[in-house]
Amino acid sequence: MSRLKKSMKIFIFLGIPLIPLIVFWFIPMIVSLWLSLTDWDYISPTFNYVAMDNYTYAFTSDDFYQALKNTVIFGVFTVIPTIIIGLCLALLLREGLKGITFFRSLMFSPWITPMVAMSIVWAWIYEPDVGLLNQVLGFFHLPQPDWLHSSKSALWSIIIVTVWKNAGWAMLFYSDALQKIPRDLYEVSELEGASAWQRLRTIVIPLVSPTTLFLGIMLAIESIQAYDQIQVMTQGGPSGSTRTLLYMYYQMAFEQFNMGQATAISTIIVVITGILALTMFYVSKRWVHY
Amino acid sequence: MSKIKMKHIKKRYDDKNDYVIHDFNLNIEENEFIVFVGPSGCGKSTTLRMIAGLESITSGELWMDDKLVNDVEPKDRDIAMVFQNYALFPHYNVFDNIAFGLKMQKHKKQFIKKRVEEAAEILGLTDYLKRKPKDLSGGQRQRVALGRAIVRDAHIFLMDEPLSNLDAKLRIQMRKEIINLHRRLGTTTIYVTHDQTEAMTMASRIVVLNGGYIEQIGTPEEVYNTPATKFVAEFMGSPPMNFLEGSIKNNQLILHTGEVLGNLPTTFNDLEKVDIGIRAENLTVTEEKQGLMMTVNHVELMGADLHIHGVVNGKEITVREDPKNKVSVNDTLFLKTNVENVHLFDVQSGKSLFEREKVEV
Amino acid sequence: MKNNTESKGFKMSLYIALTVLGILMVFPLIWMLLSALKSPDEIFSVPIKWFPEVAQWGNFQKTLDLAPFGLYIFNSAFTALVIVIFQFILSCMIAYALTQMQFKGRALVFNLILITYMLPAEATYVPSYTIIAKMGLLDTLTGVIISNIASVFTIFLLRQAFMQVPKDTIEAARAYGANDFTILWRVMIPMSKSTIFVVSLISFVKMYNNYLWPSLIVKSEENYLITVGLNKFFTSQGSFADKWPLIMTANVLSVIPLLILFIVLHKWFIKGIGDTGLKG
Repeated sequence: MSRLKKSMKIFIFLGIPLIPLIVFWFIPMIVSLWLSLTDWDYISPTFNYVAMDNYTYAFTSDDFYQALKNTVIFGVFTVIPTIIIGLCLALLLREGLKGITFFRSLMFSPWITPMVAMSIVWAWIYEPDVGLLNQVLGFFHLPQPDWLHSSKSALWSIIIVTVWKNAGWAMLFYSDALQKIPRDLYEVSELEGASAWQRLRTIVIPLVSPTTLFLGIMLAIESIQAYDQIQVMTQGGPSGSTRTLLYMYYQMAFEQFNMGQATAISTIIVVITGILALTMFYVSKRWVHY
Repeated sequence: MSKIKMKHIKKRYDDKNDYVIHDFNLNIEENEFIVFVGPSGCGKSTTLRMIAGLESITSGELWMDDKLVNDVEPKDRDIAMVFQNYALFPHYNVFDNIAFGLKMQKHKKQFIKKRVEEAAEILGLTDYLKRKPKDLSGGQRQRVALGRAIVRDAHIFLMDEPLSNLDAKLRIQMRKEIINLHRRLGTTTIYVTHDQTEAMTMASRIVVLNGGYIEQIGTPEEVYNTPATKFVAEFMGSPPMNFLEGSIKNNQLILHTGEVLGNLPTTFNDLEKVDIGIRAENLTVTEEKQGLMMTVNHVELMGADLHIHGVVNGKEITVREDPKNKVSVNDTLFLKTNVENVHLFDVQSGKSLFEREKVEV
Repeated sequence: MKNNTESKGFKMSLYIALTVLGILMVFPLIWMLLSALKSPDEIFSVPIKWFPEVAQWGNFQKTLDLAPFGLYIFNSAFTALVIVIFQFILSCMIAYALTQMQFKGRALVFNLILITYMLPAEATYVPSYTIIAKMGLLDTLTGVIISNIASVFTIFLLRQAFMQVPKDTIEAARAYGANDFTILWRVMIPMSKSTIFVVSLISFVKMYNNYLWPSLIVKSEENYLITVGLNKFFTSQGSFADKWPLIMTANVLSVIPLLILFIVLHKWFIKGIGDTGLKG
């Protein structure tokens, strides 16, 4: 085959289809990095190179550290419960159970629905005086927090919604991983008289660990990108208690049009995500047993 | 080392109507090496798993020594089991795999170490204790699985097709190792296989199963020389037994072509139809132009033997001969046999017509 | 397993636990539906009223009178569908090139895609917004579509699916004179159709539910996607207590198309997501 024909073919199959990817991913990534070194305000045609000023500003501002702390809390406390609940659901929904697809569908259905719509529903459920949750808690004479209206509980309220929405998704991955564990391993442990807890510790948890790693990183990356629920339920408030790095970035970029500072935050987000992703690649190389 | 007694054991799965095991009766003595053999789906693995306690027993009684164990948990049955796919824990090294059972029972570290090292010594795994299963060959993996069984110090070993994932050469070697292990430990062993060669070479007694029924229980010699049913005759031995149709009249065995094979050694009633089984080694090619006429359609030189495949009266027949014979395809050969060596089976039931005498003997 | 008859009691309690958990998981959806059919008095009643006395089906009409939700749903479904079709075509070609063609820099292209797979799309929004603005596509559905047709997620999974196609099959096709387009269309795509279907389904749901990026691009009501329209409706009507049932009705309207899709195709979602190893 002539070289020309081959280049032509690669251009058609790869070059053209890559254009949108280049225009809307690769170029913006680089431009964004460059913008973070400027003081562009979107409106004025000119801007100045300010070197690391935007980063210095970020790393010296209290708002940034509060947002970082919120992001970390939000990440840790959405990822861990989602994984645990997902695994528990998958363990309950064992293969061969009658109606398993029905139950799995029930557990998974929150994932399908738009976060915007569900955030509105949850905002309604969280309503301190007339909302369902506090009325139920009141019925049992339990404390009734102000949920989204208090800076103490707002972030936790959003965490609950996020876990609720993603648990079914984690369950599906665990179901698949559990199904791949050879049945004879369970039989060995039955013959050797392992208790249910020993079985969980010696077989299930080690053999689903690649899935746990995958889910952990993916959910962490997703948690960094959480926006819809924050926008609908709290807009980052009250008093910044639900403002994550991503939400801060959104406000800086599209409310204050402070593009330089916004892109600096986005670069920091990219770096954090990148570290998580790399961790997954390296750890998973050592983690697969087969 | 335990005795096992199985009385009228039946098995039916909850969601099915048909039994997969019908009335299984067997007494296993101490130190025996019993092989369950049969085609896939005959119920051999199910029976083994019932003995292990991995499957429930629908009805009947399972005794180990003098204890009824139907409802005893697997772990309390004093058994160790080796699985077809080894069932090793991929995330544990060889040591931890072998030690698994001991750890579950919370034995002392010192004790576990000693037991595992002894077992590794026996199996030649001492140098591999730190390796993960994925870094072992098939034969080594199977040894680890055996090691896990050995350290249990169980009174009964159950082995479910343990060699079927190995290549032919390794299989023969592991066969020897398992026999030696049995000789050394004397543990009562039940071994499941679909390979009749394994059954013939390893067993002290063979249980031939088919469709959930026991076809025959006997030593390898008994099963080979006096098969109780046509199924056993066909299944055990390689090449499989040849079958011709015939009849009995005045105690003479007559082929359906009219050829008289000879006088039967014992007295039989006249029978219009009978299945005649002749092993390949009991047919010989004769120079005389009489006997069974065979058209050769395929010749296989097996090294020490020559297998001549052909057709006699429309039936596929195999003859085992000396390789010195020069035979080629499309040759017409004449075969003879000794009536002493034929097996006769009832056409309907497939049962051997000699069976009654055998039981008396 | 051993205990085929594994005590009936155990099975019972398992089912009870699953039913309780299942109800808890779908409860917000049920509550949304119940609230949507209540009158303003019922929705605010203390103590709580679980069921509306008379189902207020009229709420749907009232909601539709206030905002054109039918149009929003159409906009969302339409853009999501067009995006999925484009993603499918482009990703198939890229995945084909990455798996079947030999060229310099193939590993580099793949690694770039892999890196992008992990990175947050949000980081591209400032420059992408400017690009869309420069192209004059702000406040158009075309802008939403064009900026979403590159899907790293789809490329990545199609590449994995294409790698599963046996080499022999492809070589046989080539030996019988098939060109690259024929191989892609007649061999690769048919042999990966279940992955393609599941990936498209997930992409569709994600695009339908997408909020942040479209909310930046579309400004005028006739271009609102359902998520944008719904949140606007929520912020504009949320301050009027008597409009709360209508907000819930709007929610129901926005969720219903997806719920129908899910009810019809739930087996694909349930089976597909775990086994294809999809990222969410």
